[in-house]
Amino acid sequence: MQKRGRFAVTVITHAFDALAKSEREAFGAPDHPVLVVQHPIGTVKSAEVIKRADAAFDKLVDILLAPEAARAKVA
Amino acid sequence: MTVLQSERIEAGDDLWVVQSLFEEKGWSDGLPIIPPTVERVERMLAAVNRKPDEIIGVVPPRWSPATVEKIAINAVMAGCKPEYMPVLLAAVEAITDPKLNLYALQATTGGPAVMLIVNGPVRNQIQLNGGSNALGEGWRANATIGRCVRLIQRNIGGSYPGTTCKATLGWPGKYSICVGENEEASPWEPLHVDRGFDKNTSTVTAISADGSTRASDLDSSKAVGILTNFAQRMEGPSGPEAIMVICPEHAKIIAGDGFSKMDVKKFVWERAAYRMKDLPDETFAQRVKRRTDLKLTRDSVIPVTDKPDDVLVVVAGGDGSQSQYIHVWGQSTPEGGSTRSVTKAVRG
Repeated sequence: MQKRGRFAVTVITHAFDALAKSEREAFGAPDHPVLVVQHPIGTVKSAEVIKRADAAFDKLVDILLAPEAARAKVA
Repeated sequence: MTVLQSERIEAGDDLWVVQSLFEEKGWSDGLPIIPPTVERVERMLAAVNRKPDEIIGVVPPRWSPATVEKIAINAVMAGCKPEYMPVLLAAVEAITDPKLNLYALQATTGGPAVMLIVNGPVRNQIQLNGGSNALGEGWRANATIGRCVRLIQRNIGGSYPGTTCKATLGWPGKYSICVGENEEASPWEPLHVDRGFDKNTSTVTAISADGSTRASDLDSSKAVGILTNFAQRMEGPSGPEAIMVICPEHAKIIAGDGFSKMDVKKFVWERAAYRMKDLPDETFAQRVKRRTDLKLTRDSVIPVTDKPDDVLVVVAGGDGSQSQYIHVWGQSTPEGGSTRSVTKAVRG
């Protein structure tokens, strides 16, 4: 999406960090911002998921508002 | 003379040293490999009329091109014979078809294998077993073709357990799971004919598979009994598809009682169900959210797959009343599911 001119952030849990790195390299986008949240999600109670989502949302806003060159660092 | 593009590495003649090198490089599935020397790779390439640099598919998660040469290298490493190459090329075409969604299979915590089902004359030409112990050990074609595809997923695709492959447990099928349909002992048309291929065309079907349950039944002499027992093994949703591997003795009884393959699918599909009334509140609520299109209530029953025809029926095995249910990894979705099996013709 980023190559098509639309800014994108990928949200993953930390268990998939290495996979995300591999993907960024495979697609020639090493600086593509990835927002990492705590693993797991699937078996966590809804209240905890909402808490994590709220925290992640704040970080997502920080990434989106950061200057383009600094976005990967923020993530 | 064939011009090979791959990097050459000097490793000497000591097999133990070569094994250590491949382990260090991460190029092995844990079992010993056959060193892919130039001469061996060229012999493999000579078995097909393809250019070594022809790209058969692109393998995730590294999204690297699987050229004929790279496939041949992995075929040598897996212990394949050159005559398996046409099957391997079809298998790579199948696993890299977007419908299979190999990226998801490679990355998920679910840890599925890619199961290969081979149909048509090639089975007998390369002695690919569909009879006794068809899902077990003992036949080089079954063992090494399945293994080669796994090595391709790893060495070309970059799927490494613990980092890019996130399988929580995996299962032994991930080493190799490749079976021929026992067409000669089947009372029905084989899988590839169901899918529109001529009976004399050879095909490879790739499907996500993440575990097997024995559907043994020594007590039933009628189709209804065998299929009811089979359906009980299938309770709980499978992925977008499910696989019934029916042994010839069961198949003969079932067909003898007048059941077509579609009758088998319908019978099992109507019974292999997941009852919402049995679920704890939290799990029920999650199921409702996951499939809003189904409008689930406490009285709902979720069948093993969305449609009866999503149950694959394959006849395999030798003597005995021992069939198996193979669970398919993946989510059913309103759009048709996160993965679908793919069948490709074997060419030269």
